Amino acid sequence: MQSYILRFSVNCKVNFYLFYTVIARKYDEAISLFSRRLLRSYLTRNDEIICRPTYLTVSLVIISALTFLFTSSLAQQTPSEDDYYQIITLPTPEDVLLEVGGLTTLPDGRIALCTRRGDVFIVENPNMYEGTLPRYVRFATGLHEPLGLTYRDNALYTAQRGELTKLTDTNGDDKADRYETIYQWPLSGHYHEYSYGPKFLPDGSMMVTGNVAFGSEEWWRGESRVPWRGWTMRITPEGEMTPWATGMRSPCGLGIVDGEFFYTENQGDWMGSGGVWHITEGSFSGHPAGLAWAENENSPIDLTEQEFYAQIDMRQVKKNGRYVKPENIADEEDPDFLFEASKTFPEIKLPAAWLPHGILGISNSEILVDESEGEFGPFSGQLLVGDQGQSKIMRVSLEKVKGEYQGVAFDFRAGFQSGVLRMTWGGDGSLYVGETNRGWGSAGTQNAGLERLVWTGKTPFEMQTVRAKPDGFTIHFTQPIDKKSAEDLNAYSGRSFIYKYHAVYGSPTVNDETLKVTGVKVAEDGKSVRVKVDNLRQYYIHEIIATGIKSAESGHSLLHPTAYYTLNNIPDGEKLPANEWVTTRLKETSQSTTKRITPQAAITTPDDPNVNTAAPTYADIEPLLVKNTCTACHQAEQRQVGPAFKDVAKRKYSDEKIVELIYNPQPQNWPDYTPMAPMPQVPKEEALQIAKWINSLDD
Amino acid sequence: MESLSLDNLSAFQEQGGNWMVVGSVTVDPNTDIHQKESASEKTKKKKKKKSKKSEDTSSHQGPVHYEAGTGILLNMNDETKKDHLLTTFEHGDILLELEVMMPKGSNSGIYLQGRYEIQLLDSWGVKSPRYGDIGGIYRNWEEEPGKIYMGKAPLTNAAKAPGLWQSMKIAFQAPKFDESGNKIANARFVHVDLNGERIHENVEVPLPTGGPVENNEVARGPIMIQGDHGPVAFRNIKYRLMKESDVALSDISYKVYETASTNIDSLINAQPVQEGVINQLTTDLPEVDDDFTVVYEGNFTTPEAGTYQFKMNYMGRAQLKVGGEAKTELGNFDGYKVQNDLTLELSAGETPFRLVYLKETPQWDTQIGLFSTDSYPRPLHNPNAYQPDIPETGPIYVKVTDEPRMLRAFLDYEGDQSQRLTHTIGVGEPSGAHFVYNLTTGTPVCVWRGEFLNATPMWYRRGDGSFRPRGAVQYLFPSTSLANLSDANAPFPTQLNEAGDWQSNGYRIDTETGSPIFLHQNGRKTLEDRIRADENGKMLTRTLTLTEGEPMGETYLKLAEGENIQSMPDGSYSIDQQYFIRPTSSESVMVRTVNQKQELVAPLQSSSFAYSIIW
Repeated sequence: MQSYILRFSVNCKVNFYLFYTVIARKYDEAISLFSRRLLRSYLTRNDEIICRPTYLTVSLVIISALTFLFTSSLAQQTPSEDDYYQIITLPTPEDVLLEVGGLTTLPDGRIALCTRRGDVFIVENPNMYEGTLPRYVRFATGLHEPLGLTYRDNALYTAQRGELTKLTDTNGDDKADRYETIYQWPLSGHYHEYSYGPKFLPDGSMMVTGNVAFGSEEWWRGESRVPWRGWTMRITPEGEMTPWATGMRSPCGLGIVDGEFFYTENQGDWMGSGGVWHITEGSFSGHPAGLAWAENENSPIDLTEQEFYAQIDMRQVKKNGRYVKPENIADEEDPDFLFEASKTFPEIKLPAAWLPHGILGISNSEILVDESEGEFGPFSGQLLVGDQGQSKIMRVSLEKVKGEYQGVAFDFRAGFQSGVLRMTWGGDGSLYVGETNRGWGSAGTQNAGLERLVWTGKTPFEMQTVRAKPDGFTIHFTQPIDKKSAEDLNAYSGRSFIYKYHAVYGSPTVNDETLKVTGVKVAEDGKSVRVKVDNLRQYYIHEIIATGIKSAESGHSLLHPTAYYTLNNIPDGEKLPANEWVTTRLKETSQSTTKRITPQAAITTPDDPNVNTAAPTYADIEPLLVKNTCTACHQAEQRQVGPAFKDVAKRKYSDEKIVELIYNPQPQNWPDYTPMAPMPQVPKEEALQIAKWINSLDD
Repeated sequence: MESLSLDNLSAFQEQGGNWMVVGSVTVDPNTDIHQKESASEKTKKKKKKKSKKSEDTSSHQGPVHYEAGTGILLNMNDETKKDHLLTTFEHGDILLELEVMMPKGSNSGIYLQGRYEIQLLDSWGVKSPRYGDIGGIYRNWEEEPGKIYMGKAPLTNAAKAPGLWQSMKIAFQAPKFDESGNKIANARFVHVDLNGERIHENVEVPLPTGGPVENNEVARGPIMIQGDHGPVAFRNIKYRLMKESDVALSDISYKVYETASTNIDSLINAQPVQEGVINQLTTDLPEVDDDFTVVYEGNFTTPEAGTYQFKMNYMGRAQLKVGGEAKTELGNFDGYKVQNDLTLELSAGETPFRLVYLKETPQWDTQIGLFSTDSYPRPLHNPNAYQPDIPETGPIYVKVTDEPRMLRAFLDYEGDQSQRLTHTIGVGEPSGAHFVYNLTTGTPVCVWRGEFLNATPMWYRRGDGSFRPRGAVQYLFPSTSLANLSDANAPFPTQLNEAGDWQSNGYRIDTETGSPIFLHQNGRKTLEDRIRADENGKMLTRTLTLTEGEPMGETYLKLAEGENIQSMPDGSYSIDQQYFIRPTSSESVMVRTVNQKQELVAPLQSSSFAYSIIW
């Protein structure tokens, strides 16, 4: 575009009025003033200018140039996450490897962290006052992959692989000299038996969770070989342990919300997607491995493995004398759902908020409540949830409906340099983020690290929260919305869906139904809108996309326009009468910026000899990759969560084989990566195009 | 492996009489062989009380005491009788295993082919071993430039204390000569292990070492054991003679079929997509990539009829038919890194073979290798068809610098994953003596000297949560060491990872030394467990102190267990002649037999008890 300007000398007189309208930013008016007729006659599509050098032409061209520059910068002014929350990386000395497993805050503003290689460091000056370096003091060493750290009363508590340990510095030299075993639990020695925690309950006891192991021949099936793998344990500082709940598979993130214990689960066998669970004593969150110990003396769970498998299919299949991994059944007639199972097994606890796999993370980690009372932005009281695979943080806002927690989840901040595993608050309202990705890979450029997230003080235009209503939802915003954009039913879209409850690794979304949005009512103060949805379905995840809504002040769209509400209960109460709803739909011109992508009609018929059968280009394929969420985990050149497409191409699969693998991925083909979930929802023609493009990368 | 009989000396050539076959040997580790006779006379008197008078059945010389019998080869040289010992057999390529016991200050050596010496010496406690220390490849004494060989030091000092059995494993490859007798390949130690630790990795010996039977290099020679430098004992000598064969593959043709199919017979009648003739077994053929079957046909050629050994390594499925008979099976699914060991009867000249190789797992490499294994593996295939795996990453080591270092992880007891201990901690001391302690059972589980730990198994990618000690590891025993017993004969808990009544309470750090002090609790009683190395790293001393509560005699400590616990003149106990336990006070220590095993046990009767582990 700069070429337009360069071709003209500066001597031209510019139409003052045009210039004024440009300055006044009334672009629409300025353009409409001249563009349609005159611009078209004087400017061509390619960069050559054919125009008479009148001042009018000149000013037109300058207007266009300025407009372009302004609109580009306007486009640059479309806010990004970085405008509201900035990521600062803490530098570390060469010999300090921070594969962070635990992170906590000390009363004097220092941060303490533990690493997967067994060290505990205290970080002095973590907020790098006046640009000075943070300092790392090795407080303790030699622990067995500790995956949690909490400070309490002059001691640090950590869950190692095999015990809950209390670390104390008795002589004040900033080195732990007492490594006290609070409680030791059994281990079978399987690599996957990670243990996490602790987090303190208000009564001073601690919560610790533990991963399952996996079978030898049935390597995909989680199993609990020794007590209490796949369980949550409650342990007092005096070392008394009570088994608290089971159903855990990979309970990496622990959090205390309203004094209650919550945890995040990771997608895997029996777990269709990750999510946030509220766990009370005697809960069963879904993975049956831990039921092996249900009959132990102090177990609060009555449900046994036999009782469970009498109702739910174990999917144990032998082929040629060997057990084979169960696969997702395409077009399954009557799949099981966790909510259905909960009617047979009252111990089952549904997640308070599903975090749809691939969209809101793939290996959910730490839960941390924003207790900053406004110092960290407009989300006080809400939950931040980390993700180790997509190296980002999501946001969850909960409410209680009919006595149970449920709520909504959003994206919050992406772009961390490695997988987000742990978080803790700095004394100044900033957030410290501990990272590692060893063993599973992640988005980002690093394998480990410590970063800090700081609120810039500017309030982002976001859905602050979503509340369930008897007839739909109320969306609350962080800033007043533009009424006109909100009163257009076309501004809202979405669907509801659910995951299967089966022994297969992960689940596609099933029973998808487009949301029937039939009315809206904007509140007086413009800070919320009630949305009428006619096809609410209890237990389903409701995806609400509000791309059409604009901020009243800035005219921007929402920073994160998509919300996922887990509707475990539909509240009772008054439905709004019909006459209170606005039901207008504006013309589809000002459509959502996330276009409803339709694959191009570039799928050629093989008969036509003139047709170019070359592989699609990246430009062709990018919309498909985005629409089908491939880009959540893959990139063309670099490993992210999944292998680079270029590396997939090196395997020299046929196009058809790639399509097969999209529908039924084989994680054993990529042993050092987080397993890929089956994606049967990708239409066959699109999958074939994607496969063709992937294979073209290996030429 | 063949056992070399030690019922008598018939496996060896005639010698001056310093070598003999005996039934048992006990060596006093504190007496040097060079000490004057008078010092040893005193200890001899103690011994004489126990031993029978007859000179046939037992005898005693310096620190060495032996009893008549068979199974142990013993050298007791003096000024007149000091011959080396030579085997009657001669060898080329050989695998040799033996156990050796060195008295203090003694010196011997094992000469492969009578020409290439692996040194035997009492090198206990040497920090930086040289070619002249135990396990070293000795130098020669030539002076002419070009003929001097300076020997090679062992990679680490894996020596144990005098008076203990030490295991050695030698894989040796003889020098190779052409038809004119010119040497075309040096003699080579393919690997040498001492006490389970690798001390030479694929090292050539370009010249004979000092004092060979003859100063030349040959295809075959006897084993020679040095007998003029001091007493030395051997047992459990095993060997395998190997000779590389001339077998080769020839006249190879191939046919490639479109898909992987186990129905070979139907395939044979189908039309191959590619076929041809090759001069070496190769996978670099068109159409051989992810889903294929290739059928090779050709001949084994060998000048002599006989039995030949092979191994076949591949990814996928393979079937070898020799002379029409199938020697391996195809199976129903692709195998990952399969190895088939084969023994084939081949006739002189040509024996036809058919090799079917197929694979349908695209992400696994296409690999098939056929090796002649009459001696060390010799490839019969083109290198592109099969290469052994190259390690993907360098190891991740944990080192000890100037203060003690700790690391908790799983430990596979005796390297056996089915005996995985789950609550163990490795402690490395700057003096170079390290140990692993089982926090659940209160037991030091194993000890070693040298480098500290290899943490690659736990810190590379996801890891398996375990580490490996680096060095010659002496395993003690894995089960409970500290328990309350109902009486002096009650057994200790025996399950792996099973605790007794004493509960582990973690440890605290001794602020002066930086070493851990392990803490155990039983009701109101607290026990502190300290394990410290001496400055040479030659022993670890364990001190248990009751800091709270009164000792009431019901708490017992197991110091050792084994088949045969022997008390020694200095108050220590030899545990199967593998390591020594020396209690500081011998008062309450007793040897008892439980479940056909001997145990060294002591009740904790005072508030402190200490003993040393010497190895």
